[in-house]
Amino acid sequence: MRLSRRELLLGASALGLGCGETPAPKGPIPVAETLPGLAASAHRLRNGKPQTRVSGVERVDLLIVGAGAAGVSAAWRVARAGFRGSVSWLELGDRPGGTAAMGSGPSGEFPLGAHYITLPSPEATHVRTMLQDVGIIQGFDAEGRPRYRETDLCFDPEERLFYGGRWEPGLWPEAALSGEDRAQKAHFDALTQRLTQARGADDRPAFSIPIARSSQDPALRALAEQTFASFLDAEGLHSPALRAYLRYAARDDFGAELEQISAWAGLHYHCARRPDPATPLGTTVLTWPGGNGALIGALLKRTPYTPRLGVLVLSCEPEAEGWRLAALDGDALIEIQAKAVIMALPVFVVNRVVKRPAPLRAESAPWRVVNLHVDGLPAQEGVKAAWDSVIWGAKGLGYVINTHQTGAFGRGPATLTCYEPLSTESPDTSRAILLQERPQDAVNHVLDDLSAAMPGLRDRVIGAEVCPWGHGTAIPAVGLHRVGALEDAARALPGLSFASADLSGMSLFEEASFHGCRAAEEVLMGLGALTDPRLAGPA
Amino acid sequence: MLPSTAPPAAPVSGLLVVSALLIATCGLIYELVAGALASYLLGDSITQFSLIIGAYLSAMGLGSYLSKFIDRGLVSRFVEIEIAVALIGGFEAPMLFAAFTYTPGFAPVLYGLVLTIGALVGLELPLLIRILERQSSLKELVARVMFLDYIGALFASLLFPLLLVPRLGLLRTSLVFGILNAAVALWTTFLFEAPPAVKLRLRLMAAAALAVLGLGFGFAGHAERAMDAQLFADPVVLREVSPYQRVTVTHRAGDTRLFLDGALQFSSVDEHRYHESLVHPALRAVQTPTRVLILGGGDGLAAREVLKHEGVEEIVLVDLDPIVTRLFTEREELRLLNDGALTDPRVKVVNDDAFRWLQGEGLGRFDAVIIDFPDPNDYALGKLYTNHFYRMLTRVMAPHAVGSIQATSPLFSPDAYWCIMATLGAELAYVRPYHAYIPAFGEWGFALFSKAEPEVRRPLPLGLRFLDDATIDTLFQFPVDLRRGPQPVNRLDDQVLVRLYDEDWQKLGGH
Ligand SMILES: Cc1cc2nc3c(=O)[nH]c(=O)nc-3n(C[C@H](O)[C@H](O)[C@H](O)COP(=O)(O)OP(=O)(O)OC[C@H]3O[C@@H](n4cnc5c(N)ncnc54)[C@H](O)[C@@H]3O)c2cc1C
Repeated sequence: MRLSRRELLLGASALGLGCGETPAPKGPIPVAETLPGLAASAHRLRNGKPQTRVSGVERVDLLIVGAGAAGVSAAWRVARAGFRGSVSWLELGDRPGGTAAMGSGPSGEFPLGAHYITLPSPEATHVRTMLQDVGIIQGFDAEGRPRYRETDLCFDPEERLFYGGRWEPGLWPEAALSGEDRAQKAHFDALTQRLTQARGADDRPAFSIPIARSSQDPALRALAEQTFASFLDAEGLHSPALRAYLRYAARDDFGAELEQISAWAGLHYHCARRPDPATPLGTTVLTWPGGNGALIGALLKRTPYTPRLGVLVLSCEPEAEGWRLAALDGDALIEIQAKAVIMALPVFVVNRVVKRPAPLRAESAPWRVVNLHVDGLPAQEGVKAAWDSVIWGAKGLGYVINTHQTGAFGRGPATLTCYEPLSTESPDTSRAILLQERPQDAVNHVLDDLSAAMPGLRDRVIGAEVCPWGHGTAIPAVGLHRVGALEDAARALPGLSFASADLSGMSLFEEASFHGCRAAEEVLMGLGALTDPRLAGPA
Repeated sequence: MLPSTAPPAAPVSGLLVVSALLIATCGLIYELVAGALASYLLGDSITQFSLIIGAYLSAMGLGSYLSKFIDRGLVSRFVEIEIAVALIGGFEAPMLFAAFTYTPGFAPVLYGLVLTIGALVGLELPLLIRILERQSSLKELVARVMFLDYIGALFASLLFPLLLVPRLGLLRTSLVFGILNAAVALWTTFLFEAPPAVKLRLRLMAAAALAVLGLGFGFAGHAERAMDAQLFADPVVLREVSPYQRVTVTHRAGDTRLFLDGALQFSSVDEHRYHESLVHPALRAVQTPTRVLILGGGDGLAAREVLKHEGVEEIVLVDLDPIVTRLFTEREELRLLNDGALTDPRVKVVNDDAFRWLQGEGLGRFDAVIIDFPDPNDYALGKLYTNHFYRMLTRVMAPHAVGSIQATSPLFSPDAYWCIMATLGAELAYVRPYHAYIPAFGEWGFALFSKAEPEVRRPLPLGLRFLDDATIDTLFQFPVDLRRGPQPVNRLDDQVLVRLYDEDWQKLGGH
């Protein structure tokens, strides 16, 4: 009998290759808490005005409040319109971006929250224009289909799933599932494919991004009156694997459970994306090492305005000619008089700052985001690397890795951004838990959650940054997307327009930027300063 | 504790047969495991086996001699020794392997273990004979014990090569016999009278040993996978782990081999074929190769070939791994291979990811480019074979610059090879595939590329061992079975190349 060396040492059971280096264990992980707009100072709003002296009144033509995706898009739109008047811009955080901000660490930039956008459909005129302006869309073919810069398209492999003890490609464990699971998934896919192409009686797409361009057909909007869970029940879609997959999707986009969101919103996730790139692509995602923070940075470069950071706007009251705002800059109370205002704040803040007859009441989901800085990755079974790594059955949604999109070699230093919406309890309860949690505990929680798929990860972590997003993403609950509800909430006051992803009931860059552009256009028209065609008007 | 009353005769003879047989089998198995591991890890099996047999037998002799110092509590001592042998012998293979992989000193661990196990095994039989002495005549006893001992040895020597190693491998074999040894220990406690406290202690110890060994057996699969990657055909002379990869150098009879993550990069016996083929077709097509860029190639062997051309003023060598370039700069036996190319003042070593480095500013233009990356067997490497990468590369290529690339095997991974050709073709007007036979790799593929067809054909430098001016053009001819239809372009957002490469190798039945 002749045996190879490998068989000799390992016997006939010798298995595939692996790599078994064990680095020396390290001391405790240094942990920091990073929140661009520290939750603590935002909560000061609740306690009313502080008794500090006013240091003088500033007068401007246009004031933008908030430098998240909505505020930055508004500033970009104002700049693009060639506005001549004076502009002031206030932002609470220590950096622009809001929930789309980025950090920078030992392996370069990394996201603190939002980390990708999908290739915009033709209806997302404003997104296509913005992407072209910053060079991500490099041109259009004869049919008007965009050509993308290769380095902004998500590199292959996009995603991998830890299932049955190893990393598999994709997010759906097709090969491992029963015939019934697969049949139900196929049924669901057929349903969503049909709805992706469907149009309402008003000839608008059934589901669209921006949401404002979706059909208002009451037959379709009836889906906003039931939960996604009950819709799936009615369709006979009970397969546990399919439900787990859809639950993952709902938590990924909305931070909420299938029982918390409307069927309209649940389907929107799967049916609103119709990218039509000029050349067939292997991905539908645009992403950057710093996540959407990089996009925010690129847009900021295209505007002459810079937000004044660390300023907490407290109140905004109407005056004879415009609005008077009070804000805290450090300990100093400042006052600003503006002819027009763009309020690019989340609704839970806006409701405290501006008094309106019918404020939008909508819930938002808290998110635990933990950035793990590692000096390298431990050995893993199966697909070695991907941009997005998801663990079947874990509490969190998995992580994205910032070096994927730099093209740097896969195993060096990197930052893993780990996401977990706290959806199993009510948003208020979860928020309380999240805001009281010690950063070190958050890190341990995440490491435990990843441990099955990434044994040895803990030993590679050299630092961590925890971002507890108390109000992370809007929850598209039943009723929110019934005809007219959000349109009412977005209605401007004289000289004051609102912008926020919350006004779409869905937290997406495309929605935040839509409202930013729309609010800018409304205000500019009010000031008689808009000449170019609207990017974000009604359909 | 000695039994106060004589135990019944039947179990004793049962104990005798089973224990003696098992003890003998286990003892020989440990010796064979050590011998086999040593000869396969260190090579030269005759020396390794003789030394280990010698050491083991002498340690057994020592153990037998030492048995005379044990006077009291024979049964307890016997059980304890069994447990010790079970643990040390059972974990012998895992310990040796770990020592080989993770520590510099394999030999001290090897001989330490062999001597310890030998001495413990040497203690076993004398003690067993003395325990049983009271129930049987010495003549009878010695005859039976020795008989069983030799039968056990026969058993072991037949089982080991025919059944155990092929079925279980060394790791599990060693653990299985540890488990048997511990079982003997546990069983022995049931055959003799002793105070309950003593029995309890011995049983707990034996049970714990069984549990630990059983656990070890359960994890053996895990360890095997870790070990598998560490196995090389020749003795390993150097092993380093960088943040990026495992770097291994083996050496046997004038053949030095470099492995990155277990994949062969070159064999010193025929690397001249590879590096001459990689470098000279491109360099002879450039009038004066003043500035040359080498991507990958941290072993300095491509640089050595480039330096054979006149007029080279600067070579920029970009290799990810500082450990590789440092080894090939500092280690004498490796420096000899590249003729000290990496310390040549014209060579500038940059440790960076080529993908990132090419995004940098102020790189200037190069007259020739040599690409020598590992095969695209994962996505991190596949990025270096995309059209985007080649487009970045064209930015640093002078208009007349010519490049060459190693492009996997047109025989073993034809789809991958032609996919690389298609991808180069997407960015460069001139792409010419060529190939050469490298015994260590088999039929190997390369390509020349340029922005326009090169007009220059300089004579090759003197003193090459593989190429000459008369035959170099034959490399560009492809026999029928190496040709393929068009393949897709490998893009960042859709890395078809990695999948094609994988499928090609799967078709060959793995590697
Ligand atoms: C963890 C997480 C992951 C996400 N991932 C994605 C993703 O991958 N893709 C995607 O498209 N979307 C994602 N989102 C949602 C996305 O971030 C938002 O839809 C979008 O960026 C919201 O922009 P916004 O401007 O409406 O709100 P925000 O980002 O909340 O911006 C509001 C800004 O106002 C500032 N502000 C608040 N109060 C005051 C005050 N009183 N005075 C002054 N300034 C104030 C805040 O500091 C903030 O900068 C994610 C969200 C979270 C939480």
